[in-house]
Amino acid sequence: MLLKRLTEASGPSGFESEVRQLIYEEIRGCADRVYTDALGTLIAETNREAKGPKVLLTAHMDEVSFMIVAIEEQGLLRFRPIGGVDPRILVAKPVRVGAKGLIGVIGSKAVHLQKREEREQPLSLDQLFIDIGASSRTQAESYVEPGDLAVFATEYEEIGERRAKAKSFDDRVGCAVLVETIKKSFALPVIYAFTVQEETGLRGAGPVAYRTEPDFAIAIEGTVCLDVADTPSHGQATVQGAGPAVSVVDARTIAHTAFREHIVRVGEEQGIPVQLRRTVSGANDVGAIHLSGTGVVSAAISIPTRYIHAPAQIISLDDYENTIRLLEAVLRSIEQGGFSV
Amino acid sequence: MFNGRELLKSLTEATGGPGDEANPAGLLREAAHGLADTIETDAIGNTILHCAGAGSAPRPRVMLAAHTDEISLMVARIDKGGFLRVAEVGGFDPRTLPGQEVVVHGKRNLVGVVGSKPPHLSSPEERNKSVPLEELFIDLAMSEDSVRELVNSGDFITISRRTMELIDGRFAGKAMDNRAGVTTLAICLSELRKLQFAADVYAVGTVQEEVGCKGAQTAAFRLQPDLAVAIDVCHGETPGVASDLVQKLGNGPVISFGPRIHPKLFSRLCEVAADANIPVQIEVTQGSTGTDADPIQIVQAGIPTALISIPLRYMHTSVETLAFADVRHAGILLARFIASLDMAFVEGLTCYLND
Amino acid sequence: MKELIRQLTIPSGPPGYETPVREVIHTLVQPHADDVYDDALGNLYAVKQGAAGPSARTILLAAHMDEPALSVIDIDDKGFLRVAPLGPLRASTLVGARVVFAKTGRRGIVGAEHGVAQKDLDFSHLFVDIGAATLDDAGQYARIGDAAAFSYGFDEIGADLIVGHALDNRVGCAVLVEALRRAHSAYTIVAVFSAQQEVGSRGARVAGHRIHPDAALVLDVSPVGDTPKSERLALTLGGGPGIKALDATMVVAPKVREMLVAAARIADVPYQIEVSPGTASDAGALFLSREGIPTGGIVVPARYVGTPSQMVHLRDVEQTVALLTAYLGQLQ
Repeated sequence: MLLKRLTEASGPSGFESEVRQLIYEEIRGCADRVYTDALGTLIAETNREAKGPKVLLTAHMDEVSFMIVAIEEQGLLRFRPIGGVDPRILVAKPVRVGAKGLIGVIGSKAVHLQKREEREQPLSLDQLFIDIGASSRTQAESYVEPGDLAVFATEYEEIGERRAKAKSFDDRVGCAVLVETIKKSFALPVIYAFTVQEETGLRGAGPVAYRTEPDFAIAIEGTVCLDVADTPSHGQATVQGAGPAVSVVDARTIAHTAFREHIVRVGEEQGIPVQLRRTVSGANDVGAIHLSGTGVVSAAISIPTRYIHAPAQIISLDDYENTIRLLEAVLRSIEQGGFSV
Repeated sequence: MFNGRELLKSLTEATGGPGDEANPAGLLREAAHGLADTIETDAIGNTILHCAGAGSAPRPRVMLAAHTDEISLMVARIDKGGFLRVAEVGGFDPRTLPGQEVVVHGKRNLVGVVGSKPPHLSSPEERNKSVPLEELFIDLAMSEDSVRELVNSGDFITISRRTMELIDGRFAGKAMDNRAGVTTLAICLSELRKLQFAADVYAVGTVQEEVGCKGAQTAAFRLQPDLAVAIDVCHGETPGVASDLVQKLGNGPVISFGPRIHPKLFSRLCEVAADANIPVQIEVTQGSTGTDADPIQIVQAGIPTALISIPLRYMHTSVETLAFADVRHAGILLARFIASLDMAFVEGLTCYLND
Repeated sequence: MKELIRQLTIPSGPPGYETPVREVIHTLVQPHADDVYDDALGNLYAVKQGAAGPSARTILLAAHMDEPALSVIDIDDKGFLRVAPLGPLRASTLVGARVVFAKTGRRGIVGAEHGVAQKDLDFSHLFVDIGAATLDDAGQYARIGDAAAFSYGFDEIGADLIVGHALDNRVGCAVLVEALRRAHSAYTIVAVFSAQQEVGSRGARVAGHRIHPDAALVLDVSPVGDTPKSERLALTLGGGPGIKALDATMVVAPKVREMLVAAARIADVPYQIEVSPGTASDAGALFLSREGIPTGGIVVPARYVGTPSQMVHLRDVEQTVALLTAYLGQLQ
């Protein structure tokens, strides 16, 4: 099952090989040309000879992860995050370490051993460590070394009502949408780019936009969703189940108004639920793409993801499927000359 | 030929803040005379030393980047009494400035002292707080009229410091960040003269790194290299700092590992060091390296990038301290690395798939 | 000049939504340019061919059109809007602010939830009241994703001082419009009225790449240090145009500064040197275009930058135009 395989694969920023190989094997038969660039972004070009505007579709392969940076005397591993993680969610979570996916647990001082004032403070990174069960530095060194990577150990599961839980829906869900889309054919030159290092500064996207010089670009993301507990409407950003969320403003981009309005209209015409992303925080590959070269008309469409950047994320499978439908409808509209600048 | 230690000394004593790098750039050009095939300065001040490789085209294009600028200050305004208020050009810890001797580059070079209130006249609360940059001033010990005649807003101010030799081949001074890297470039070119190499080398003394790695980005855009190596400094061991954030002086140049570094460049540098018996240390990074490597990696369609650093204690102060042996070893490592490059290696840099 | 500036402060220009300003500027520059066009980011380009003909070198002059504004992120059942900033704004200074939605012309007032100290206010505590009673009612005047610009009048103090909320940077735009009218140069002048400067010079970045000129100058407004216990800045109101040495985005090469100083002497106008580490401009983004472009800036000194009542001296504006015109005229 695609979402399961993608979310359970390991893809720290800069070290996306497992995910890249998995996606490559899924899509290699579906494109004229499949290759990687200097940073490791996987690029699949379809319909290169077709007339019509060139469209770049992106989803990033990397997830927030950890790097082992030191091994302590007693065999515990010191680590630092790669990408933005709220350190408050780390304690007591299992991780998989290194190429072999060795299980470790993120531990800290047990609550019984803490003073009252300590218990009120969130644990900072230097109070956390990963325990793989080693009793000494020497023993640990036979399994891991500084530079090794770790990801959350969460398993994919379908839960609740038409929902799924896994790590890294941000942005394996976007990758899955692109994999499903490349299997269709459009009378347009469409480039599918599975980018690297989005979480560490939108690094992979700019180079691929520069190389491919698209007329339009759309990034498919997993985005923040806090429609829970007593969060007021203006604090939610998106609502799970209300369909794909089209970005308006974020920390790196002010969306091209006409293009985002067109996408919303296409959704409405096709009876696909669509919402707007109602927050200005966060960023995605469009931040780098839209400023590439002489500027690219771009949009971001995201699947609302609860508990993003945390070990157990939740999406709605309806939102996922509606995103696939919406993307297809938008590409058809461009194919038929329904949008130009 | 040049003497590496002497070059390091003269480079660190030369003055050149971001946007005003002519002095250290000139010293680099002099040192490279006879070592580079061509020497040019680009539209924004980067110094580009080109060494042609042997053999027929296509040859690997390699860019080396070491920034020539040092953190400095700028006259923001001349206040009553002729005291200068300053803006920083590059990141200072303002706590290191009170009492520092400086050179104000006005109509002529003037000696100044960063003034501060003595403890006798400070309240207990003041004594417990460090002075922010806006409260500092520079005293030129002359009348306001004289100051206004010789100094203008916008004039550069550099730290005044003679480079000192400590025991054991250690040196301390200002601007080791990154005149140590510039010295490494010169040593590398000197070593290359003894080696056979196929690559076309572009060793760039970049400008304005301290205010956003600007020169490296534009130089990379122009040169379009197949790969690039930045040379800078990293933190030397200091009490109270986590072990993964520091390296040992004298234990060799540091090769960085992490998302901004191309994995094959990292491996090749490690292999070359092992083969040539050059002591090296490894630094693990999880994102930004804070060096010229950062912008270079994402120029145009992306450039495979690596980073070599010299361990340096007390970075961004006027007593930055390093081991000269690390600088020498860095230059040799770079030269041997360049000599190991061929087109097959370059072509492999964009191959990330297993078929 | 006063009338031109006043005219330019009327249309609104939130970052990313600069169309009203762009349309006014387009009309003003069309008669003086050989070509006028825009791009995907919303930049407006006006090109005036150089006297040296097709081989003429190019100079890019940039003045940003945008101003900090608000983006609607939510509308509640009672018709109150929730907003987030577009550009640098502090929530604590906005209570009671007046805004306008360009699309519908509807005006609004910024209000705040009770019980939060002013210094602790952030955007989650603010709302905009457009006088609607319900969600549907509000929908006639504003939608999620719309932008609201601040809306205050244009004032004059005495004969020489003008006051407005978007003098940063309609003054720069006015200088550029006027330069297009008056200047003759051997160089081809590409005037770029840039978009989205307030959110990080996004427009300037793509404009620099598109035009890749031989040189670039930004025209902007910069804060002064001549009010009681002000920040320690050198610029003074009425002291003449500022020649940029350093701002938050770049250090200007001494050579470039010297050329502008020489132009001030030709134009016989006073000048000041601008050192403002806390002020951003399009200069840095242009400097970094492609292989690097020698870039400088001329700024009009202003008081109360970042408030609804920015103040500028008309003589400084006139002298800035004169300096710029002289500079363009002597380019070889």
